[in-house]
Amino acid sequence: MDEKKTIKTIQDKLSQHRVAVPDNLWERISENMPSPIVWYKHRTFYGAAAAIACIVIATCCLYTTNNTSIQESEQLICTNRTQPQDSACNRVTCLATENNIEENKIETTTQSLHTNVPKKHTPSKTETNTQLNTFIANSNNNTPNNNIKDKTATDNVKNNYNAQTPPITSGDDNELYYDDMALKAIEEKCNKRKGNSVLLSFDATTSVERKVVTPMSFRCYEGDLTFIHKMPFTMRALVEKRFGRWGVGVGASYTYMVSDYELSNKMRMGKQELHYIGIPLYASFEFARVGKFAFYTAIGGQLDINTAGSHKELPESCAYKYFDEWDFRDKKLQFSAQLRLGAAFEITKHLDVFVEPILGYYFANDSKIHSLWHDAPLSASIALGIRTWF
Amino acid sequence: MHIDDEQKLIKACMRNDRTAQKTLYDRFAPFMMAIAIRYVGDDDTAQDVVQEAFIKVFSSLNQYTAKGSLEGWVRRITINSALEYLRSKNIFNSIDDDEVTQIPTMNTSAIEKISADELMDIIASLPTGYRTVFNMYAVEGYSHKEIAQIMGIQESSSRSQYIRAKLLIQKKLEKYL
Repeated sequence: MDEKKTIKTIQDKLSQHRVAVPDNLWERISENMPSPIVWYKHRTFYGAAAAIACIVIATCCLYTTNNTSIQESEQLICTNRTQPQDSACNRVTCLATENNIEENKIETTTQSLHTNVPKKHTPSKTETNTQLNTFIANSNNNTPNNNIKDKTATDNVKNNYNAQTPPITSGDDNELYYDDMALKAIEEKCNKRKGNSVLLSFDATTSVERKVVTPMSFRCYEGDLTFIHKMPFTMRALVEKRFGRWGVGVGASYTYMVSDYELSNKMRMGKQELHYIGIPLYASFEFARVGKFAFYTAIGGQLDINTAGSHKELPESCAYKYFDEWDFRDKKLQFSAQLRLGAAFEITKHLDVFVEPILGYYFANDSKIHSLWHDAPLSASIALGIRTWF
Repeated sequence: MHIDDEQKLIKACMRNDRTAQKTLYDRFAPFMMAIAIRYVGDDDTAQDVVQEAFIKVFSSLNQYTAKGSLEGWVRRITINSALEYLRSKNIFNSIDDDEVTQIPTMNTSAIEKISADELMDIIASLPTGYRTVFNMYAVEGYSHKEIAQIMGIQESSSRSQYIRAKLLIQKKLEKYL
């Protein structure tokens, strides 16, 4: 009891004790100060890098879609069928039609192609292929008609020189016939989004912070080792081959993890950093499309390889003077299974933005490293990204 | 100092703002000097320790998590710097663990009577091993197990050094009774 009282008295007496410092001490300190160091906040830095990458990709996509493509010409055709009024696109269609069959003066300003051109002749498969090949070859070399007088129309044609209409042929009875199979071929070609296509997506993923306390014993010490795993940050690039509503994909990912560790007696306190390169593999299924929204799910696995890691002891740690900082690498491979549920919104014809809640399970790999995946194998995360088609 | 002001000061120090660093120095230097003298025993060495501790503080401010007080954080760095200095002189290696059978008790009333400066002088005059263990156990509140780990000595050595320190302090306190 006396001992405790004495100690308390000593502590109280010394707690507010101050000693005057010599005048030149500050000069000595400032002379020995290290040069300023720029400390990047890693998550902020990588987040900004991901955002810049997304903007660059989006800009490139938007730039490439400025030139009217065959997809747009198909839309013009589709629009013509339902809204044949004298829009610019209708004029283009008319001009292109005039160009194809100059001897027939076709009036197509008020009615659709389907209503204007009666169907009569269904070509054989060989005929269709020949016509189709000729048509596609012609479409690639199609140039505006030099005889066109109307300047606006000429500009439209120049701007939309890729615009195509299916061939319209003249029959024995001097009637015009519309090649339905050629239109279908264009429709299939234009409808990559719904048909076979390659999807390229970029996203950034993060998860929640987790605190994990592990009882441990070290020599004579029995205590708790606490790891606070900060929100991990993942960047992914995925390539997906689509087969209608189904798809299979593969890609590459980079994950950055930061954790704070602390022994209960404050003997060890510090920061752990881990860097992983991953290879995801998955299958996806688009189960709904509502307006510009597409909803899909994906299931797959991922292999993560630790490329680098480091422990930085905090200065207030008792072990600071012994350890300070050291690097390591975890050679164990980390396998995981993932279930994703995604919603994509079509911003432009070639660009979607998507959000994906991800449920992942990281399989035990006997690693000694306390990563978030090691300490909390079941994790929920959320990904934000963009995707495009080609 | 208000917490917001402290955060602003820390951020300014991290930007290498010399005025902010001088403000932080003015605030903590006397406090750190007192700790350093208590551990190393003389002013000149204490200045070196404080200098080393300040350089660590300024270069590691980005690692300050604000979970505890800034004063506590600075205190810990100063103690570690002092211990590092003592270790570099191989002082802890010469500490023996001879058992001490006598269990002294310090006179609390005598400690209450003397000033903080006088108490500091008494502690500073102790041999290094006694002084270090006494500081860590009685002032900082470490357990003997933790002291043994930090200093790399036996737990029993820590206990015996503390008892010897108490015996010496008690002798010195008798002058004030």
